[in-house]
Amino acid sequence: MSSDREARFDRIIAADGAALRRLAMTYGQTPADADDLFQEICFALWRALPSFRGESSERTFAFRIGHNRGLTFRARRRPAAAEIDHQLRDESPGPVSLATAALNRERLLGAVRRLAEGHRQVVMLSLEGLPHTEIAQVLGITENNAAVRLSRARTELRALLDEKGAGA
Amino acid sequence: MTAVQDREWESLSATWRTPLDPVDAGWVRALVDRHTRRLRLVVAMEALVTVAGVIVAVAVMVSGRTAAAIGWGLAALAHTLVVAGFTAWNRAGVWRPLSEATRDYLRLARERCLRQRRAAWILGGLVAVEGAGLALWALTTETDLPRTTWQLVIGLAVGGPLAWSIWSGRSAGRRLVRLSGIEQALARVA
Repeated sequence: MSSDREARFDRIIAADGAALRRLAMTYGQTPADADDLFQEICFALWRALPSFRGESSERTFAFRIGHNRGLTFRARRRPAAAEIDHQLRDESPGPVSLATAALNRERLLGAVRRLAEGHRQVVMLSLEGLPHTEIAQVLGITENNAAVRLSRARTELRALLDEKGAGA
Repeated sequence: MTAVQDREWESLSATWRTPLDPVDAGWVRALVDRHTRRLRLVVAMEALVTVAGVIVAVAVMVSGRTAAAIGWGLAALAHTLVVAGFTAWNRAGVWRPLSEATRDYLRLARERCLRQRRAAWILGGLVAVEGAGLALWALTTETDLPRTTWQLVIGLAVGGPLAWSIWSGRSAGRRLVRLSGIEQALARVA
């Protein structure tokens, strides 16, 4: 391993490893799937590092690889609706506007997983704190498109969370 | 978005980013190393099997020195070289995406599925043809081995690869359908 590549890889994992694991959790339908995907993302990142020319930030680069690997990972896995529903089962009552603080990560993760493909990506990136500019870079779309897509995705997410809250 | 919605989003974001167990870079690099070693091992094993196939085929030809032995050796040699050559050709150009863009990842995934399906049908077809030839030979030749033994050998040698071929081809087909679904879903929100 070249030391420069190694140092850059370590830096990305230290800074964004947890975010990449969360990303993997939005694509994997079970914890084991998410672990497998996380390993695949790390491997893909390692292999892609020599081609990184610094046109974007390292975080953008890592997220782009993560999302793209996530998409192809989903194509390889059979959809498991029952497992998603299990993840979504939620005992906490009340609409999201009142219970936001009490939402646990599992519930949010379950709702994010149920979003439409392109919506899931923008929501995850926005929840990670990326601005529209960076979201656009990660997904290879315009900033305006990212903003519009995020607005729709937030509406969809809110509906999913409200639906779960009301159904409990 | 209103201020209330923005606050709600910030709250969701904070919930989302609740720290997981920290990710140890050394552990991740060890995973990557293991993955790299595994890939190299697979390639090395395939090369080893090919070399072993060639050695066995040549050994059969040299040791037997009869027309039948030379025929069997040539058949085994041809089979080994065809399979190795096809496998190398079928894998060319699908090691990595052209760029880190989503379209290139999806294109690569699609191409891999098509190659897998092609490998399944071609290798499956090859084994089926060879199996038919073997069966014909077993039926028309007097050998020391009982007929049931031949039937079992041919059944296992042909049935296993054929079952793999059908499973692999169908699995690639299912993945192609899922890939199309993902592409359509992305296009819908674009």
